[in-house]
Amino acid sequence: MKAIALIDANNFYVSCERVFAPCLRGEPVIVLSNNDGCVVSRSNEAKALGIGMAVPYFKVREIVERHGVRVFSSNYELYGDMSHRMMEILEDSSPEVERYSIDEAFITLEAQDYVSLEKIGREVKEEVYRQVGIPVSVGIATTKTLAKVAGHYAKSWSELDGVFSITEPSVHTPILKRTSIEKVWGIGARSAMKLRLNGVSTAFHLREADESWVRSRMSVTGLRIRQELRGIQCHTFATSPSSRRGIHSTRSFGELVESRDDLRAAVSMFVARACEKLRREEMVAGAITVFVRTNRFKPDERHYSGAVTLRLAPLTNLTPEIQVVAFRALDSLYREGYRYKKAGVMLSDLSPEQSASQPLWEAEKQARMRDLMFNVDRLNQRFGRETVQYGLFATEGKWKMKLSSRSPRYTTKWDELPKVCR
Amino acid sequence: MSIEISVVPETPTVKDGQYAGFPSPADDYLCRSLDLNDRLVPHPVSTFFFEVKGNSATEARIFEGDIIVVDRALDYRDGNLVLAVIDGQFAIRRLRERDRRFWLCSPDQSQEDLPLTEEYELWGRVMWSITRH
Repeated sequence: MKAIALIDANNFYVSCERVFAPCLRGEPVIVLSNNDGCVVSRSNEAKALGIGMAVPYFKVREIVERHGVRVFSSNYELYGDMSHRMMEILEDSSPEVERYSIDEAFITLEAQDYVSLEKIGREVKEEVYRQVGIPVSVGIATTKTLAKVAGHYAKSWSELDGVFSITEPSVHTPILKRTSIEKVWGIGARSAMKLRLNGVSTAFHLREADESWVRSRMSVTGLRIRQELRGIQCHTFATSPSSRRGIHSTRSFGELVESRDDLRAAVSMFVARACEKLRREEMVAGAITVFVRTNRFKPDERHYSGAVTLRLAPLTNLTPEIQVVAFRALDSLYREGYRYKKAGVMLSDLSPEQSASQPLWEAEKQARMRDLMFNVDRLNQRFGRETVQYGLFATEGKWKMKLSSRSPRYTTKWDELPKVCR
Repeated sequence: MSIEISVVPETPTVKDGQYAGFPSPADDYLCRSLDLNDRLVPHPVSTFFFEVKGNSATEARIFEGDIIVVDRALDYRDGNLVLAVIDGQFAIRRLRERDRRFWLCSPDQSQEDLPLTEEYELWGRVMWSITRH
């Protein structure tokens, strides 16, 4: 039987820091966003002290100082590299891997029965930990939306030990009955409120709700979610709700790609698509990861896979700016003589557009760019994708980043290697 | 770090005019310049580099300033040189099996042998060390 698993790293950024600093294990640790604005990752010990997600640092400074919480600035070069390693292990475990965000992926599993599915899920979890040192949770179900539900419990119910499969019908229904509607993938706070007013307060209610009622109240988006809750796969890349931990655009090539130009064209398109999504969510990104890989299962061909993560400064969601950085990443990745099977980009370090702090002179330039983007997006919407395309764009000016307390780039810089002293 | 690995299990060598190892369907393998990555990093995803400080592992021929290549993906056996985590710190130790238990032994015998319990972690195997001259 076939199923979908959501592999979701636990407290990913903190976990990355702990791989190279074992003394952090068991300690309260937090990681702050690009501008040292908000908390983007917390260890379980930090959560227990009452430090919430996405709160600005100044609000938790008192707790930090009182309990000696360790604080790190985001180290996106490290996180991007560790993410790529994790994804590569998944690519070896499953024929289909969707790198959904920097620390989550959907993979397909195939097994004889329900029990075997959970066993495979556990093997994947153990393999990721063994090779990369990152703990993950695995949620298994027949659709992505249901896998997300399973993943939520896999992560929060410690007795499940990180793996939970809800493919079995007897487990399925009671779980949906106790899953509040807010927790369903793609249901925002506003939709949830509306649904509750109409008596839909759990995932089960939504699943059982009348089809035409859902279509009229929530349009095709809500209908998709209902179908997925019923076990009917609906989501494609374009319709998947965005993760606040990363926006991706990747593709497996039907015909292997060999030339640098072809790969550049593909990456250019990936960036455009990801930025479209980013702008629609009204977010900006602080880092981009570009990865390429050949087909590992071709025995008579050389295999290569690599990823590069570069910072975006200032934070942006403007396609031409991000394309320049993506090309730089690709240039350092590209190897002559390989036939590439898959490539993609991941935008991470996301924050809402308004809260992104930047110098005034950037704001004006960005405002002009934004108007341009708005019109481009509108034209593309009306006349079809890529009606208007981008040429290359040179950015001017540098923006100094506040890089206080960022850990070393352990895996991407020779002079920042982890040390062993004993 | 971008690393390439060769899928061909062995690089054919020429011995007395005979080829040893698998003949490669892609002839360019035979003429390709040697890449250290092929030899030192067969598992890029689980391989990490560390810098050595201090001289406590000189008995294992590892010196201050060396880079060690550590692989997390391999099984552990008696005699392996490992990167262990002891009291929250990385340490290079020799894994020894005695009386059906495993022990972490310091290369220069300066530290007491530690029985391998859950308190200590085997982070990875030290596969290579790189010394600059």
